[in-house]
Amino acid sequence: MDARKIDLMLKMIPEVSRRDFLRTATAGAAGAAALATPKRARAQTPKKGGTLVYGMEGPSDILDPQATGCWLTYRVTFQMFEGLLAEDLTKGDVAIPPVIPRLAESYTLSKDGLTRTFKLRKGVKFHDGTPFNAQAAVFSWERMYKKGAPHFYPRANSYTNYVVEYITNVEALDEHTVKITFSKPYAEWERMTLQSWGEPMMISPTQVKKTGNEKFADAPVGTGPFKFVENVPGDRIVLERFKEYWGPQPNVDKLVFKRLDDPAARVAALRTNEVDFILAPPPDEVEALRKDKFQVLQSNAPHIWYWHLNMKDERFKDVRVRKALQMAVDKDKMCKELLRGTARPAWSMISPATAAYDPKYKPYSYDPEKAKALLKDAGLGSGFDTVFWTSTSGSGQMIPVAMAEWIQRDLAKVGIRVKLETFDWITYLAKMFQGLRPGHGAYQLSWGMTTNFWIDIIARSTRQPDKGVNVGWYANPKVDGLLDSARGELDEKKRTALYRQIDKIIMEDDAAFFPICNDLNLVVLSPKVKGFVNPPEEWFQLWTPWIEA
Amino acid sequence: MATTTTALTTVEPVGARPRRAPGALAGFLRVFLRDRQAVVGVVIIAIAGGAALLAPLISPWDPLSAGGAERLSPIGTPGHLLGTDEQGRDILSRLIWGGRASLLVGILPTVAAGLVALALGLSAGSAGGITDHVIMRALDVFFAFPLVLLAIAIVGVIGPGMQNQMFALAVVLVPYSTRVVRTATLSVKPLEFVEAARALGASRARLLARHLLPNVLPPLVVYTTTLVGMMIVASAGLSFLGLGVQPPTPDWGVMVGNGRLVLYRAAHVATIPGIVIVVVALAFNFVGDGLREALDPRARR
Repeated sequence: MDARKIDLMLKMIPEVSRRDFLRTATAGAAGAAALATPKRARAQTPKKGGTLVYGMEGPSDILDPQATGCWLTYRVTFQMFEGLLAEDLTKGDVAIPPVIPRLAESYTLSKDGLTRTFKLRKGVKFHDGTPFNAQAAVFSWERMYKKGAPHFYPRANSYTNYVVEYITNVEALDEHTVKITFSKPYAEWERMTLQSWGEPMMISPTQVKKTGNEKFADAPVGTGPFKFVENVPGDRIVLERFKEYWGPQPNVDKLVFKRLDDPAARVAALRTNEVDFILAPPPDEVEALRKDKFQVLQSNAPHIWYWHLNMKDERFKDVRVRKALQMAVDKDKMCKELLRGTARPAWSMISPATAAYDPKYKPYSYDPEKAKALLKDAGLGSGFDTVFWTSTSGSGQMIPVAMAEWIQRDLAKVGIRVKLETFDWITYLAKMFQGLRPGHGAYQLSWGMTTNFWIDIIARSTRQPDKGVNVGWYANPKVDGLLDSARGELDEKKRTALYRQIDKIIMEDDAAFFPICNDLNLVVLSPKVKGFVNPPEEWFQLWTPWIEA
Repeated sequence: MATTTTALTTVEPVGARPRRAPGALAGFLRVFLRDRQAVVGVVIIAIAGGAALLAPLISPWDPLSAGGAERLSPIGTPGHLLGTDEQGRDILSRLIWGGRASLLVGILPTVAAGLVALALGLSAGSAGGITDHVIMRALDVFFAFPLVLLAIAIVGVIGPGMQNQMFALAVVLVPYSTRVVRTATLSVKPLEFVEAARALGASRARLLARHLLPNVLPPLVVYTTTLVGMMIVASAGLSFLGLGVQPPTPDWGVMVGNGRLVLYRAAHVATIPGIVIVVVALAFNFVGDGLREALDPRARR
């Protein structure tokens, strides 16, 4: 690795020490496999050129990062667009992805927590040649927050709501300085700008003026290391290396995101060399893939596979029933046998890869006898019938039907007779915005973020459908109050304690959600792919991997 | 599919007999039983159907819960003759119980569609003119959509579940079966014996029942039986999308679908129900051929 490249990389990751960097490069070079295997991998020289093909497990939404959401979409847009800040996804061996400046060089937060001032990076160009400066940044922000601005886009506003809610003003102080003013202190704001639900990325003002807000998604222009080539909906998305990128050049020339919804088809495509890597292999195939020299990387992703419980249902509005549920499923056995160790049992609604996550927190344990006793106490000694909803596939859903069947069987043992209703992913998501109806016990989802603010999104009473995704109509004024305090608490230690307190109320007092497991986000790479890093996130950067001939 | 229908509908028309011969049933059985393939088909269907009917008595395990064995146990595991599936459930038990859903989903929609098609196709074919145009053009609309896609759309509207799934499959089969009936009707209608009957003053009802129906039935029966296997597979597709049989209810198609995910590690989980579907579908085809021979009035003479 030459000095120039190291220098460039260091510029990109300013707060990283040289030693840290070298360690990361080593881990990156051999993939995070260095994590899984005790063997120390040696650094290799990346090969330039070639095409990297990702067998993607579902559709990407439109390619306008500000006006969309979903992990799958961000796996594409993350390669093309950049925000003022970024999560450093070139590290596999960290608990939480570090926040680093990206299109900003640095920023300051005022004492009252109400203004953030960003010093922008110089010499950055959009893919269409437009220079990135304070005016361009203000344009991007106005498109998301400023109702009445000529380029304001309501769809972007709705998706980025969690980010722009409290923004009152964004102004250019000079050519390379931007000041953002807030009406309330918002401690987790930085992390919230880095999530996949409404991504406040910088987009080319020239292109937006040319295409208009809606059509921008068909010809997206950002500042990232890859630029848009084509999008064949339902089939593939193609990106190519942006030769004038301000940072280090990506190793491969071209990226192809090939849609392969079916897990068995994905494995077949990987085995026949049609794609270079896939995610979410069927758990039962992992051993065989490892044996055949495919690289299997796992990560501490912020993922929870869980059920929203219906507070409006006759049965589930009784907290004893909800508590019985928590003890009725043998999650350890399920993770070990059905999921073959590709996930860990989850007992909390705090996602991994966040400050408040505590792997030792375990408010319940598998205890069917106690569950039965609780049900008897609730007057349901002879059990009851209910309906649970899940999807047949989808982003982060793992093997939802098999998992639901497994859970259904465990629940039947304590007398909770579940009728499963399954839906295809798009239909299923639409149901989320309607909320659960009486008679329906639970709605299953896979979600989580690298910020603890996520719990605000699912548990705050004001976010019940159709104003949010509190699908199970959970409402606890005490939780709402604590969420308010946590949002404004700038001290990270205190904030973490607050989020843990909230989680404790949700899990122990109310048992309002039913977490099952945390997916380890398996990535399976062809033996010829090197330098891939599987970070503790639900998406990844594709500029470091290369194809070994 | 439309291409195969033409081949199936080349009937050899025969003159109708003045009245049903006393030995009609005996004649039918004599021809049918002479066809060894058809007999094998009947035996296979009887075994599958009998097992499904007697499932509570003969199933070794509960098809819905694991019987203590490890998941993905291979064929020949003691106590689990055909091994266990991805949830640790006995495959043999699920096959026996699964026959209920699969045979029902295979047979009911095709028979229902066949009956509707008989009415529509005979009316269209015999009446001709505007009636023919209205019926056939209306059905042509259905041909604009791929069969399974249309079924998905219908279930999507009326909601998931096994009954709705069967209804949807019946609806999408009607146009195909109707074409078969109409083509057969048209090929018989201009023949001399029909003309003769009409000239002798036979009523329209009599023409339909005595002269057209016996000639139209064989190709329809053959066609319908070939559809049974296909419907078992199509219903698996719908269930896979969450629109049909809901888990954990066993169904052969669903078993194949679930087994896909463990194909490399435990191929038998998908293969066994797959073989059962093939064998049963083949059996229906055999029976269809046998019926065609036996129902063909001329072959019986």
